[in-house]
Amino acid sequence: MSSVLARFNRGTRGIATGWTLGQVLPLALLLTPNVAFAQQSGTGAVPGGGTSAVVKAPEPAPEAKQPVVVMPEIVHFENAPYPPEAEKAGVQGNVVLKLTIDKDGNVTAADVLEPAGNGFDEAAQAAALKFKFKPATKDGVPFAVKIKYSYAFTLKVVEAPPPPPPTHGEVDGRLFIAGTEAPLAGAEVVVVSPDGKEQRVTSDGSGVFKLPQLLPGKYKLKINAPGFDPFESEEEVVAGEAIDVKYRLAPVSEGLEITVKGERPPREVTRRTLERREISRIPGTSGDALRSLQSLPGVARPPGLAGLLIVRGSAPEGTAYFVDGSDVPLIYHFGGLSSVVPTELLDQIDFYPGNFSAKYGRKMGGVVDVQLRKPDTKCTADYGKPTDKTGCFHGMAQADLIDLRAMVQGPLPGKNWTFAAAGRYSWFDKWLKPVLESAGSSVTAAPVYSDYQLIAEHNVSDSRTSLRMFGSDDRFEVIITDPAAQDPAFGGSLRFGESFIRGQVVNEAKLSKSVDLNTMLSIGRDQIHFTLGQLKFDLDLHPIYWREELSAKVAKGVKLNAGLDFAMSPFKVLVRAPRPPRPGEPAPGPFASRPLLQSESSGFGFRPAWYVEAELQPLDRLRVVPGMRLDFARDSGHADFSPRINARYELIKGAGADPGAGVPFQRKTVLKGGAGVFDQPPEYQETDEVFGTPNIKSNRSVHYSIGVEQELTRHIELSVEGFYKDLTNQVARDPNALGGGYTYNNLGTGSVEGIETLLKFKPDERFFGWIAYTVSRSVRRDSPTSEEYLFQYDQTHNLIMLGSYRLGRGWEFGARFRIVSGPLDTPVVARPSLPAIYAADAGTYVPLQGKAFGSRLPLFHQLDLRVDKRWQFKAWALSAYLDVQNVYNHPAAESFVYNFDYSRRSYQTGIPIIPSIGLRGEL
Amino acid sequence: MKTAGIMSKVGLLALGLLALGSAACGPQFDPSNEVKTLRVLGVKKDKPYAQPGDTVNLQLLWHDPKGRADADVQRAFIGGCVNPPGDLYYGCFAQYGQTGAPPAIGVGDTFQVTLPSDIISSRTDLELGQTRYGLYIVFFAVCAGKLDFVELDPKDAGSTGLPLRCLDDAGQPLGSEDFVVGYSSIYSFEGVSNENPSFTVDDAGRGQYLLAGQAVTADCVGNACQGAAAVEVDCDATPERCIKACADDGDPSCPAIDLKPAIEKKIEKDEVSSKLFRTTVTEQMWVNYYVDRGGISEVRLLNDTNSGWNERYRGQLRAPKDTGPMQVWSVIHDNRGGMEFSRVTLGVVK
Repeated sequence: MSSVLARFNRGTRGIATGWTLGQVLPLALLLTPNVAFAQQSGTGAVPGGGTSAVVKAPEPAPEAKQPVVVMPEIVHFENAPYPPEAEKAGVQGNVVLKLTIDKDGNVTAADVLEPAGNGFDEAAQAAALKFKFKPATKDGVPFAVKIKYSYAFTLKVVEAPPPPPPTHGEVDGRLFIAGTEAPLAGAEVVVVSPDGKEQRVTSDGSGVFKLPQLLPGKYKLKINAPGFDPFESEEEVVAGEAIDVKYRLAPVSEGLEITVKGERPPREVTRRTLERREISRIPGTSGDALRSLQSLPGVARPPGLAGLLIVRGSAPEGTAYFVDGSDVPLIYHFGGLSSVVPTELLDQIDFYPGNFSAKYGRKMGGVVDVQLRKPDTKCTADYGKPTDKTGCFHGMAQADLIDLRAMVQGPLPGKNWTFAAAGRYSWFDKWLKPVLESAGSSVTAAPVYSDYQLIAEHNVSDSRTSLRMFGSDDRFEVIITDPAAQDPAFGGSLRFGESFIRGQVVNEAKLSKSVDLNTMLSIGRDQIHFTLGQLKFDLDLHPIYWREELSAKVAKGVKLNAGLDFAMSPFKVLVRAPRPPRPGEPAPGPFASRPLLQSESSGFGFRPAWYVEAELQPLDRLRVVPGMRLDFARDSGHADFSPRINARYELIKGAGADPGAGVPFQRKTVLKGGAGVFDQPPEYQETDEVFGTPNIKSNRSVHYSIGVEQELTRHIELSVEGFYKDLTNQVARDPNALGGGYTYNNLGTGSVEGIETLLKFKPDERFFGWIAYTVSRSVRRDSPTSEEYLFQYDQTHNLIMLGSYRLGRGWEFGARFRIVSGPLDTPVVARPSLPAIYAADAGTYVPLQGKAFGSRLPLFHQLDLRVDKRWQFKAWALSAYLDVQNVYNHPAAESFVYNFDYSRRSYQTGIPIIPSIGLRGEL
Repeated sequence: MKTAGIMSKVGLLALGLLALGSAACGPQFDPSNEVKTLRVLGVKKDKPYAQPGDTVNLQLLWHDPKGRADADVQRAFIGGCVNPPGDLYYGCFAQYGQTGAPPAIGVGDTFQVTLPSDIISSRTDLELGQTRYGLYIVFFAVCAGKLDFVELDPKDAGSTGLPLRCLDDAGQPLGSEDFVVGYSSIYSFEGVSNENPSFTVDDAGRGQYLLAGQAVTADCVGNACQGAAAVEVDCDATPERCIKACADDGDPSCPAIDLKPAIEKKIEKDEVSSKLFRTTVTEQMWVNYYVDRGGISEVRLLNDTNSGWNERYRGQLRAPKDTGPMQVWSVIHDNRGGMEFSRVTLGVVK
């Protein structure tokens, strides 16, 4: 039935349905001998008889003059209505009737001889009674007859009239969360027609929405969902067509935009790049970008509040910090609570834990290169909805328990010029002092810091020029009113200040299709001031950094990079300190009141370096980067040559990373490895004529690493890397044979070995997180004949699990849990009977120490939680966060403290539970 | 370029000070100058700098708050260590072993040593141009039990601990509360001497203190302080010697009272350092304060090599909560081994 009806209902546009009567074929049947059975067939408008009509012609009378009989002839056929039920059921039928026709041609009776049921009988009877016949005649005289009549009901396939042209179209849509296959339910879809009228629908649980009956034309679709960026699109509706559309909505974006340059082919074995959302949301870091580095594999936990980066078993001074290639002396403000460049000003942080490119040098550990962002001038409409327009201003202000900060950015007069300006000032010393006083501390001061950044940038299609000025200032002052017995002069005013400023020009120019020239020039000033009573240390430098790199694609799969990395600095240093004891000199007494030596010197530090590197891609999946670097250090008088090589091979080529592209996902497998020499010149004081030993050579480290990166799903990647560092020529100090003082040498050696594992869920619009586990061992030996010992910062196990989830409606919740081997300690041992011996002349006890760093404190573990809430208003946004470090207030042991004769000891514990609350407004 | 390494070291020093001072996350031990266990407060030499062949007399100053009889507290000296390698005291252990002869041993509160006449000339490890000197080290031990030598375990070879222990009546080793070991160094420079610092005394040889500006006579000065009898304080008769008890021991809200011993402003020129640095260098001097109850400042600088005499060397005294006598010791040091002692007993009243 349905197929029949479908034939009627077929059409593409609003086809009117209808039905037609079956062609009825009247059939006169002769019912009795007296009744002329007639067969009629009709054509055209007169339905013809059916095949079942039987008409017998009268038999002619033998030889007698036969009468002429004319059978009745229908002159009016009455169409019987097709019984609805039968029509619905698609049933046809044939009813045989006996019709009694009088001599006037009227049907006086219609009897059913062969019923067909289904309502056909009644319908046929009723219709037949309305038939009108030309009466039967015998020799021209009408007479009554009875005839058989077959009334057939047939469903006629009638050619539907051509459908009217379609007048409407339709949009069938499906909404997803960007970057995933997850449907977006409950989103409001507003359709604005060409004449401006609006229609609203809501996506269902499968993210589906339908917009039927749309007149042809251009429609604007606006999609809004709480917690997601508004989306707009224009669709052309065509009459008679249904458009299938799929939209992916991104969660609400924040004022800060950081682009991940992950697509840059790596020049090193491992580069860990943190995305904006990861940077600003890791619990326990108060949103500080550079503190987030401490949650990466290969980075050891620093002691207490120390702002140190301890990378793959190297000393903190073995890691270099750059801001767009310019060395900075400090990456964290005092106490490690905050880094010197605020998160808002960052575009990206690249962290190289080892085996880094020849572009970087003078360090044995790792490299942190921070890139400042391009000023944001993109315009937004109401509720932060992005637009394509630029030339708008943005502002931000934030306050938390530690500091206050603000930022403004926007266009400058002059085509293609933009600017950003930011500043930050700490205020926690204001509330910390009463806390310390109430705790009875003799130190009731806290550091004060500030930092500032100013950027002006010019961007055109083939070049970028950025002018920057940034700097930082840290100060700490405390009055020591009660000096310790060990050093009676160790009292009075302690002042410590450090500041740096950089003026920097960065230029990236595309000289041709295959040649790039990148230039960085920075001039600055670094100042360090330290005073304690009469002791003084003043260092004033004017560092100049110049980097130039020419990159040229010389052939297919061959790119050469050549560059120079110059570091120069005129300096002045003033030291007023107790002269170090000379060999054989008797114990001069308590430190601080020894005869002072004032030494003033000035000079010019010069450390140029040249490097060349090739990025080779002999096969589509293989990338090899050999390089070499030559460094010279004027202060030590030594040159260092460092060859390096690293390689990446895509064992299984990945595909389908973007689910929206419709390409099936193929897990990528990458093998990687590298080896290289990394030299680090001695520290300034180690080669100083007065305080050190001139002419000692650079520390040397040879890195080896091998690893694999395996995509498990579109979002989950596992990375395992083994590393080994062979340390030679390490600067060590030897106590002088006659006691008192040290001599520096290059007899130290050591090694670091370990495995880093990172299981990462790549950030999508809901979640990011990772599990990082590092097992490592770092040892040193001060000379070939001395005993090997664990390095001070060795941490055998370091497990970090963290994640952050967007709950929707502007809420986000994150947690970080860490389990780390306890810090090392040099134990005091009671051998053979007491832990210390009394030095009567000084009046103090000298501890009897065991093996250097020979014992380990208990395991460290800590849970940090973070909650964020964002409100998006029409013209601005407000964010609030609560970041709680050490949620269950675990008193982590950081070191031992002893009483005066070392007979009792207790743990010095780390930070207690610290909640940090912040509020931030953005325009 | 240069700053990163310097920054990390100097910055860590400053942060270390903050960490040391912050009481929020660290334990609180009793101050080192509250004498609550058997303690050695000083070893005085009559010739802190001696010449080759000189005889030097050493005097021990010790105190036992448990008041055990002298006979129950063994005191011993061990001499005979001359010019140990590296001038390190534990270099003496090997020396003792090498000579085969037992070191010189004395018992009691005093000891006498004679420096070898070749103590300077026998040194062969000094470089040309270095100041020539000799070093004699004397060890001492004070044990509220029985002193015993320890057979060193091979695994303790190279240990810097003195191979002595103190046993109780049951033969069990006693700890730091009842046993102290230490050492004192006697330097010998050709033609250079050093006098001990001294307290200002009256004609009768009595020292004096100013307690809240009031003059108070010391119990003793110098060697006489060892074994000096306890002094009864009559606060009715000598109210200037008495102070009011605090509400509680260590109560920081209890007002501090100035206590200042009269010390002679006798600053000697440090001949050795003056020659070394080619400028006049004076000796460093400081005073350590000790109490058996209540509290007092631990140390005050008397003479700074660079800034000179410090007249503000008074100790800040806080009374205990219980009434009764309170003993305060002042021990003056100089950085050339010189020392002097003094004691005063105060009364604590409600």
